Amino acid sequence: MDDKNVIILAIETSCDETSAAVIKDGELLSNEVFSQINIHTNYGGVVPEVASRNHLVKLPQVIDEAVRKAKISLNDLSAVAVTKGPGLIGALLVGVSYAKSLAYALNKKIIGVNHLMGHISANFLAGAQPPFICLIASGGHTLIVKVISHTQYQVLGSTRDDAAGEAFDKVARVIGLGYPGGPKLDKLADEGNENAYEFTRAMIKEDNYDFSFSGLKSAALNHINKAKMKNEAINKADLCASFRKCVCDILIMKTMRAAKDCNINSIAICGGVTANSLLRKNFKAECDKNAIMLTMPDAFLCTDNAGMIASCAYYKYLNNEFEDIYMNASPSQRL
Amino acid sequence: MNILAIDTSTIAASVAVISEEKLLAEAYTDLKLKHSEKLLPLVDHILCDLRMNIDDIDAFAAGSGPGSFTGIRIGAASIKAFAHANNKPVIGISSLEACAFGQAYFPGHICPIFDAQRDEVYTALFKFEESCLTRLSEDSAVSIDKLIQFLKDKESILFCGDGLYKFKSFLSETLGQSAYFANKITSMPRASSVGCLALSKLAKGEISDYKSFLPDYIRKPQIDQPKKRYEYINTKSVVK
Repeated sequence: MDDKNVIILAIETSCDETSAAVIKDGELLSNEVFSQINIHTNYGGVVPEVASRNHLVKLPQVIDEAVRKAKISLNDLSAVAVTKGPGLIGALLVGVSYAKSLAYALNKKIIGVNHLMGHISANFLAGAQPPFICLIASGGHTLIVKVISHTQYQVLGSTRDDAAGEAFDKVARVIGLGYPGGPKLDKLADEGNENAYEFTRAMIKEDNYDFSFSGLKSAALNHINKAKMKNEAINKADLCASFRKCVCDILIMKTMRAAKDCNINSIAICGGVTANSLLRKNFKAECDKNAIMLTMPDAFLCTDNAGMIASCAYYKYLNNEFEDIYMNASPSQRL
Repeated sequence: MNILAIDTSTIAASVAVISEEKLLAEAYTDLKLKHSEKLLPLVDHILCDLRMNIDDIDAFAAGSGPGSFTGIRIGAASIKAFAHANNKPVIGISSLEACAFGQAYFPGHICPIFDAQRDEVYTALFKFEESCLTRLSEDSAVSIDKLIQFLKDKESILFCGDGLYKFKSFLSETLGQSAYFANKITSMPRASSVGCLALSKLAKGEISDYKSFLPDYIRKPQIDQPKKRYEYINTKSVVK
């Protein structure tokens, strides 16, 4: 197969971001994202049916915009790629149905991409070369992966209950910060004292790479209730700062340990939570201290976007990994 | 002029190619296979049989619902993408109308009913007048009891659609002699009917495109109110 001039259109609709991107020979030409966040804020979280309806409304124009900005035409494409899962089934089906039919009508190849592989592949765009240890931390997932090559992975550990982003959102909701909680909590935490409240670092001593974050929400609630009983006011900024520090410590420690154990001196981080300012700062400091190379894609490549799907699809294309017209969405697909 | 038409509003999925002269091909399945899996293979199958390529299609038509939200969305996404490739026209047809169209020349009222869950049906009332399908009411979601109230004075009514699976015996009991039921060959909305109705819309210039065509859900999305259990604290009293 000719490996030059490989142009791929990628589509991502797994949650509440409608996105399309064009990649040529591994270089991103465009990456359009329509975020439905303002729509879902009214409901305090993503409503699957609302997300699916909006994907269908927005997807055609988002694709047109991605193609226009890449200065190509649909006929120049080598393949159409799409997120198969994991994600919301109704939302995924819009992207999958659209991508399959578009590829069919254009007589192009079709590539199905695992959303988590997409997150990992964002690091290829930021210059990371396998092998590296990758932390994926988002609203739906928290896992540590050994990236062996562009298309080969080994999951070392994952969360046993809530994802890190879920913990951020829940604590933010408990103290009334609203949706989306993560970014709002991050901002407020900057004004607080990170040692003011105590949070237990769950599973930190256990000899594995798994996480548990479900207890943190209860811990935050306990702090609030304790203060209430003593008739004291709780300092929200301090609570946010202490909580944030705890989550960051856990994520960093386990990732660093994985790198050490695998004897790999390169780490990459991705997923929505890695847009967190403290996590980025502390990861950088810790990696510098241990002479480990750190790749942190720009924030827009960390949250859901089709650019990362395009990156993954490019290496799948080189590897001849294509789907047929029977391809379906798989909402609980694992890495 | 060739139209590729699909319908995915009910559990059945169908695909047809129709021209002004005749119905060229139709494929229909009513299986527990997912629409997202079976729709494109059905399209590929009939185009191959016709020795046609999708470039030979001049316009695309879809049953735009009402029906299963996910079903009509899969159909709409596929039809929009087909049209997107070469910016060809899109025509949306009410799936209830397509279902009624399949009951040509029944002398009384025609009442397609699609299962809408919660003991409701998507429905509308039609009649053939001088061999022309005439719409008597708008597509809507109503409870089966309300529908019966509305229909009880009518002389003869032919019911069709996947709502029959659930409500046939109930309708038969409550409406007695005046209720007729479509046979299993014609009961479901067919892509050929969608295509046929689309041809007349196309002739009148009532077309849409890949950007603006959307399914007709009828109902708003069901949204649960934000869960109370998260509202643990009165934020005002605890702010420093």
